[in-house]
Amino acid sequence: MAHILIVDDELDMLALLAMIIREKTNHQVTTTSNPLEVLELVKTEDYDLVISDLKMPGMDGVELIAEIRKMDSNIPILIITAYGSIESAEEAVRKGAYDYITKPFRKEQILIAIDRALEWQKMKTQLRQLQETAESK
Amino acid sequence: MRSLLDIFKKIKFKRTETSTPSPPERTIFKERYDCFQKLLSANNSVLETMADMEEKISGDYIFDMSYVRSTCETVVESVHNIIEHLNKLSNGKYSALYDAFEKINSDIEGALAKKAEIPVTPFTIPFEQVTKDMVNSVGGKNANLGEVKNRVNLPVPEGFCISAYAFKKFMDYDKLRDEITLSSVDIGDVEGLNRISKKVRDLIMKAHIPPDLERSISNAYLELSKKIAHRGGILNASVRSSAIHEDAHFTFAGQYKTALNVVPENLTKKYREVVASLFTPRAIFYCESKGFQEEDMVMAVGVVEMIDAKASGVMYSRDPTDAGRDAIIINAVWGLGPYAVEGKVSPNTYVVSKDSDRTILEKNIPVQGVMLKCSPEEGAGEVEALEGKEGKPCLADDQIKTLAEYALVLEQHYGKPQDIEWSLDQNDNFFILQSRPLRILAEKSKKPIPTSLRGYKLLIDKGQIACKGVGAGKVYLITKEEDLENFPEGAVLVAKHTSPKFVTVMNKASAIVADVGSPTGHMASLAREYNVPTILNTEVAMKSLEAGQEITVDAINRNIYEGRIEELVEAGKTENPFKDTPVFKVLKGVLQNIVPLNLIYPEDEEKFRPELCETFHDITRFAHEVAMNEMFKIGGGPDVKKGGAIKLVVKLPLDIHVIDLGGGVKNDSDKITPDHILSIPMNALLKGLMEIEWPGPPPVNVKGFLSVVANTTIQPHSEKALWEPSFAVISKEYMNFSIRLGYHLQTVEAYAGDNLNDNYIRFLLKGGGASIDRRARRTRLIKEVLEKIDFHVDRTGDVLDGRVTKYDRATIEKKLGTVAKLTAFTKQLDMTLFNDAVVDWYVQEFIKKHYVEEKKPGRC
Repeated sequence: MAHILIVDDELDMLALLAMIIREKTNHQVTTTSNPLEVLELVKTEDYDLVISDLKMPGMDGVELIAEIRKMDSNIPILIITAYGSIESAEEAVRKGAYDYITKPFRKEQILIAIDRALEWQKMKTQLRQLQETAESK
Repeated sequence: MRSLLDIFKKIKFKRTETSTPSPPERTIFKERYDCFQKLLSANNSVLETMADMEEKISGDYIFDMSYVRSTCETVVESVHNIIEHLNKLSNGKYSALYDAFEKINSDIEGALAKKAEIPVTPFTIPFEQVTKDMVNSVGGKNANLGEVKNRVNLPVPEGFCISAYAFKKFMDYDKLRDEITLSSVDIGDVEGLNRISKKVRDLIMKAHIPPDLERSISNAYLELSKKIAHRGGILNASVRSSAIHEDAHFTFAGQYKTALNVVPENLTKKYREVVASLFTPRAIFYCESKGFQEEDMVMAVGVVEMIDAKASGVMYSRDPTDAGRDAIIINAVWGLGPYAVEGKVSPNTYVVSKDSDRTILEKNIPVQGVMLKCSPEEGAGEVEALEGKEGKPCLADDQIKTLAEYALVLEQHYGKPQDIEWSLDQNDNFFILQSRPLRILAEKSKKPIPTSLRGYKLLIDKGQIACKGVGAGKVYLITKEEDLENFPEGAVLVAKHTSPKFVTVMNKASAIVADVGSPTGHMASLAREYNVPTILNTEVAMKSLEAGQEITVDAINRNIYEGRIEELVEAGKTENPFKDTPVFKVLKGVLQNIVPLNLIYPEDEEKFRPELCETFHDITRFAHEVAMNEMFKIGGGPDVKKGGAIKLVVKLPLDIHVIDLGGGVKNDSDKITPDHILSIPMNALLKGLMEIEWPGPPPVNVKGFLSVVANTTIQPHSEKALWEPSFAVISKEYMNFSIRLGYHLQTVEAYAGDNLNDNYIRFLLKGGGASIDRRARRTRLIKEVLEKIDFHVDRTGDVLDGRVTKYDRATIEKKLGTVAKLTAFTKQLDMTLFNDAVVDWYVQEFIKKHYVEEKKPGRC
């Protein structure tokens, strides 16, 4: 079971994403519609994955990635983008997002994307541990 | 970004000029064919986009406004292209379609912009006159409070609304709208957003309130104070925001101002403050980034009796974190409500069961050190919470149960779980301050629908899903149009082909299954509109399913089972929480102008007219139908002989000339052979023509046949007439072949490409040299054969008009082969068709010999 933080300024979207994840998985979900709250949340809690909208008031997704990266270089960030804005999604990936998913998407697609991101995170952690073990020998 | 409105405007004024000088004939053919192809392509674009949009409305997808706008843009442009090309093809014959287009376009524009009309109402409206239907006049919060007071009959504070119309008049009075120009804002610049937000708010604070509005507020307040005087409490009011779009698209909750405990003299000042809070940086961000209009920002205000609360709180009629738990959650704090939601103090929490006793399951009473209380003069301030400090519960058990009861009454009234604000006055009277739908509801996980079920006989497990869902009922086979008349309630419609005419029974059908058809076809679209679970292209339904047989159609996993499987039917019923979201409603709204199909009877000229097109689907369907007719004329026109025809050298008793529109012939020499033909339909037809032995003498094994022939006056058919040239206008996918056979003219037109929706064969036969009864017999013979190979045939006297549509390319080729054989078979048949029995014999003979059953139509 993973702990997932969802950031989206659209309440409906936030509610739906949380519902889909809670309905279909055992993951724990925390949500916020205020991107400015995210850093505080990441500081106080351990999250295995952040799912974020790209276009939000106060702080957009790309800025958010940069800020999260300053605090935690490992946490995967999955970006959700509006229809027809792949370029900005690609920029987000260049800036350190793990991947992006474009609306419209099927409920199953977001679940697959979450699984993949968590798997990637797990492998990355294992790799780091192996490297650390190797270096300490 | 180019706005959709710009595109609409551009399109509105761009009509096609069709009066161009006449170029050489071949170029005309090419141009017309080019138009036809572009029309087909636009037609497919509309159908595909429409199917995509309808799929999104199924509830399985998450989408946004960009998607809705972008797909609408595609449909609008494609439909406009269709109209343009059709008018080019027909020399402007269907210009009436432009008017239909503009009307529908404007309706879509309206649905997209979704501008809230501000109804003209009095400036102030007492709560006694308010219900939830008045959102556009008084805003969501006020409307719900009125509903609770007047229809649910629960206690709410006295009060009145300052209407949306009052807001409009206020904004108009100092021409505030002209001052507020948000379009220049750079939404990425947070500082800039703050700056403009402050500027707008300052403007509003300084603006004058129209005198008649001021008077209305003061009179309404006077009335209010009379109503509340008997309570003996304070006579101040709270001034609350009630924006028209509050809680609609985005997170505005908590953004707008509420002023507590306002003295009468300050009412208009606080009114300004609440109105100004509409223009927060966040709201401006949405206005500019998500395509709202400034005019969409409308603020009504509620002036509500101030309840000097002993305790306040929020409650949920269902546990928002566990909807499966049948419980009501009540939070309570000492003093005024804002502390219950602001997290300043830890509230009391009570969990109440929904059982008949309203059993209190849990109580959590933390210590509360401070509370918010009405200040003696105005406003509210923090004071010590004496009872809270001692850890006393805010509510007694009977009060908890009363509140729980209220929560349930509200949930029942609104039909969905509610998030409720309440307050308890110093005399222990409860008041409901707000009730709205409860958000973020974790529904109990539904069992996923099993992909296959053991213990049930699986009848069909293939096809393409056109509308998701599960339906069960008795099989009702449709073999001809008239069968629809007796369609039983709840039956499963099973047919070989799809037809938009099935719409007449879609309110009765529990599912639809067809052997052929595509999810992007017209009928599929209708099935989605009526939400009838539908599987198409099953290939074998007509053979595998029996009339009256009870079946369950699982159009989620593409399975059809024997018997009625309640488990599946139940699992197929999906609740769709997304359907309540505004973006879903916008898509649904625009689809109303795009998808419904009203023009379903092309043969009825009264009902099949451009003026009657009410949706883009109607225009598309109409244009596709008449475009085929326009193209059909291409081969029969007087220009065909001048079109640069090349002679086809072929061992057939026909003088064939070919006009290539592009891609139909390998090289451009004076003479060509069948090996040079690249046209898919032409090759299919030629293959059929060459495979059959052209008819010799009539059969000898029919009783009395020869003797009757001997006694029949045979109409002379000169060799000259037989050898009149036949013209084929072709391209790679298209063929329009006018074959002269003796005295009759037969035209076969076909399109055989990769997109199943484009494909068709049309067969027209007219004339002949025999007597009327013989010609009639010949047409009967051909009609019966064509119907056996799935053509829909209309026969008027000796004119036959048959067509078959939407088959995959391979099947169209096979059918063309059969049509070719039929052509040769019936050559000069008139002379032998001396009675009806002979016709029956010929039909059987032909089918037996030449009809290769298309057992396995390919997929699209």
